[in-house]
Amino acid sequence: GCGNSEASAEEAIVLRYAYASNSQPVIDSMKEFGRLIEEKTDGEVVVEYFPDGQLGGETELIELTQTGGIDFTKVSGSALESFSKDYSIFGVPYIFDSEEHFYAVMEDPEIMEGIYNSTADLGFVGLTYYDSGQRSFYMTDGPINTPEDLKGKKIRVMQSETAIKMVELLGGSPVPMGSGEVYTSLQSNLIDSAENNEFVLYTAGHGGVAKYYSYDAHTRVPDVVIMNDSVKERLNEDQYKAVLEAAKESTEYEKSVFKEAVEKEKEIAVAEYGIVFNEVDIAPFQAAVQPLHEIFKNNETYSELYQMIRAHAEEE
Amino acid sequence: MALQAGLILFVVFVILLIVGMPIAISIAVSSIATLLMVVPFDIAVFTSAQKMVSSLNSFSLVAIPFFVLSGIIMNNGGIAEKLVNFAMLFVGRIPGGLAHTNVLGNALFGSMSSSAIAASTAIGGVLIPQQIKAGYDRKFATAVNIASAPTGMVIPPSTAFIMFSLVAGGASISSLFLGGYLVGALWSLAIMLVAYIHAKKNNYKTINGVNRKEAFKVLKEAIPSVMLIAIIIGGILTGIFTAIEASAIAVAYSLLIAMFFYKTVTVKDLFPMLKEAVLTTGAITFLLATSSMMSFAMAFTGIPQAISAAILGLTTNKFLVLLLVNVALLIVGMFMDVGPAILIFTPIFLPVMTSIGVDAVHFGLFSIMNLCVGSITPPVGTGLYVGASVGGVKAEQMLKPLVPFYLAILAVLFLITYFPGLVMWLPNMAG
Amino acid sequence: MEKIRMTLDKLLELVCSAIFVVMIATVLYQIFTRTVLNNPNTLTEEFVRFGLVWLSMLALAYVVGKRSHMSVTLLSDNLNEANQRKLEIVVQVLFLIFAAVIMVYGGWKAMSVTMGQISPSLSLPMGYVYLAVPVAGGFMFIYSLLNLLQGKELNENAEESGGM
Ligand code: NA
Ligand code: NA
Repeated sequence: GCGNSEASAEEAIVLRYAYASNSQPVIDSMKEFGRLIEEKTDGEVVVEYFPDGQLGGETELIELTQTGGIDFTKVSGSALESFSKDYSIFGVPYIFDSEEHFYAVMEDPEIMEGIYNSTADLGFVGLTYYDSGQRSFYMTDGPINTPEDLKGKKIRVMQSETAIKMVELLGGSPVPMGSGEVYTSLQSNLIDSAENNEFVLYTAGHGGVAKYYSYDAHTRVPDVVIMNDSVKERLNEDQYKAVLEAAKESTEYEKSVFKEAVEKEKEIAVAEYGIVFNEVDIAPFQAAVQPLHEIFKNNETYSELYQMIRAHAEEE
Repeated sequence: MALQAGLILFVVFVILLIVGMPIAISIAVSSIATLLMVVPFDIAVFTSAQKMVSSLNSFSLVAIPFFVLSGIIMNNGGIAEKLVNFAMLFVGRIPGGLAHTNVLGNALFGSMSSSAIAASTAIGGVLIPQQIKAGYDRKFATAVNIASAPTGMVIPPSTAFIMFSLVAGGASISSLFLGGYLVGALWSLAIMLVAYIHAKKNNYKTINGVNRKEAFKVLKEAIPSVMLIAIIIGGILTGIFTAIEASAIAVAYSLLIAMFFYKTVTVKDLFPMLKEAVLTTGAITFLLATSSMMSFAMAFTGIPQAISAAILGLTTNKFLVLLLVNVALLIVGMFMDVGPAILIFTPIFLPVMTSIGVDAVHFGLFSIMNLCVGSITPPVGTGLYVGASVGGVKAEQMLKPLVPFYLAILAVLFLITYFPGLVMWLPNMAG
Repeated sequence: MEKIRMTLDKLLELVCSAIFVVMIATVLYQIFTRTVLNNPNTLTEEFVRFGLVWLSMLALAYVVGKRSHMSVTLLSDNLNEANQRKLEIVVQVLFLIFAAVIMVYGGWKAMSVTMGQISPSLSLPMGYVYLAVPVAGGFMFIYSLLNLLQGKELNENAEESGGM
């Protein structure tokens, strides 16, 4: 579509923001980012949106941001792993002990500036993060309380070495698979379980075939807003500052609406599908995946980042 | 901007198409012309190349070359006659038995290949002469063959549904396949109904029954090929493999029975069959790769939303929107092949469907049936022209005898559009 | 010239068929490891996807060589021979431009940009996948050049391919 402020379109600088399919609170937050920019620059800079994967999947959107086809996109941190190894650290299960630990790391510029700028050579940088909650297992034939419950189960994972290794360490059989066939595969018992945040239950409809969602909360992978390098040159100093501020403020906004949305999703998942949620003692899960921590701790590329993130855990 | 861009896109595209440029090139040139309105040359060119790769970098898509190859293997196995005998066992004794055999034969052939042309040539080629010998009207027999040949495009394996799934953001291929069997079945039944009425009116003979020994021989020869249906449905329903993986099983299975059961394919036939599959694959992927440029150019300039808004501005009544979209697709189908039409129009109409609450799988089922009708309508309709020549009739003389069949097919299209339950119960029940 | 064409045909036929066979074997192996060994393979899917990109790209160059692309022949069927010939020249020139600008130039750019991007399972630079575009573009360029120079009568069995 065309920009959202036809009146000032004459002189306004238009920045393009494309994103894949997302839940409503995240969409609202991305829109809030644009609204704040427009407000802070008195309409000198406006943001035009391309929603719902119209321009492509997350990897394509990153490539478009890289070349300047678009100026911003928001993707999962795991999609960025292919572009910078730093982002792989977020896929390590239980790298964060808790939600508080996650926020402490995300708000620490010493850690995040390095990660955000690690793709500068490729033509884009990270601007800010959005909370996308925790990922847990959900299963068709019963709740999960201990790693024992995963034994021999076929579990769908994303195409990621770390995710595959995690499921193996927990005793399950990882089945890497595109997200499009997950529903059918759960239904036909090609797989027994998958893992994701709560929005998979009602919004994506998987709750219709998998009724048990168990909070083992193995990962918290942030979403990341990225920006093409040329934006800095196309804007004057004040305008650029407005973009950076808008990014941070939109994160605060996102954190608040995201939590509400999770609660709402849970309510409706219970009402529509009778989903059973259960809390899990995560200690045995954490213990089982320690070999993965050893790998990252002892790897030259990751050890410093790993220590910095874990240091926040010990503070608490 | 959307209006301007849309105008450029469609005008350039239609002109190139009409003067006879390759469809893929027409798509690419009009898309790049549109993109150049909004981005610099380098980005337009880079993005086009990127889209070529990203549209093909999909695991679901491997099902297309694999199903194409398994269809070719089956074709070379000389199975048409075996399927005809098999179909005759079941529907031969209904009034107009040979016509019904032709319909069922086309459907069975379609369950092995995605090509309507191959079915109408192979099955019609055997049955139309038999029908004329039995005193059926030549034009009637030809019309039955033409009207039932496209069922092969909706009965899985179906490249049409795989293409749809790709452009519709991953609507489940398994669900589309399961629904496709039902669409194909309803379509076949509608043709048989018209044939039945015609046969009754004209007192066409039924076929004499065969003895038990002959029947057993017919079954023994046909069942290994028909088993492919069971393998695909069974694999999906039991969760042993996905619809995509089923395509590789189909290749292995058809090769196995062609080489060791029918003994119609030898090792030295393999390379020519692969070459044929490569050529067909290339023609399809060329369209896929360039169509993804077009949907990008359209999305980038806001064309789908503009069309969506225009339609919803006319009416938000679900009944009328569905009617509007169906009429639009019928017109598109008159002029365009099924493949490119799916790739170009799905991204345009899907947002409209979503906004009036139509399920993507349901949309896929009726929109593809709709576009398949186009393959047997003038002015552009390979199915019509090939089918007419198989029957030895001039295409323009076929229009009148086809009218009752067109009406029956449109009735089915209407039913599955407005009563989704008819085709969605299987996908809903089983995934 | 005919010799160049035959060599290119043979090369593409062999390479594409080989990729085809390997892809089928890989998917069958994937089903086998998951269902029989109960040990899903993690590399196969990505491998098959990359194979498909290469197969498709080379196959579409091959299609241009065989002139078996799909087109709407509503008007062109009624043209006289001289005009058909002119139309054919325009078609081949468009292929030539498409191959040079989009596939070779654009594809090369896309390849350079994606060299720094590492695939999740095979840890392969994505540039090697994108390389298929300029390579296929090169083949297509030569084919459309040959088509221009050789005229239509030399490869008869052109026109429509099976398609759908
Ligand atoms: Na079929
Ligand atoms: Na038509």
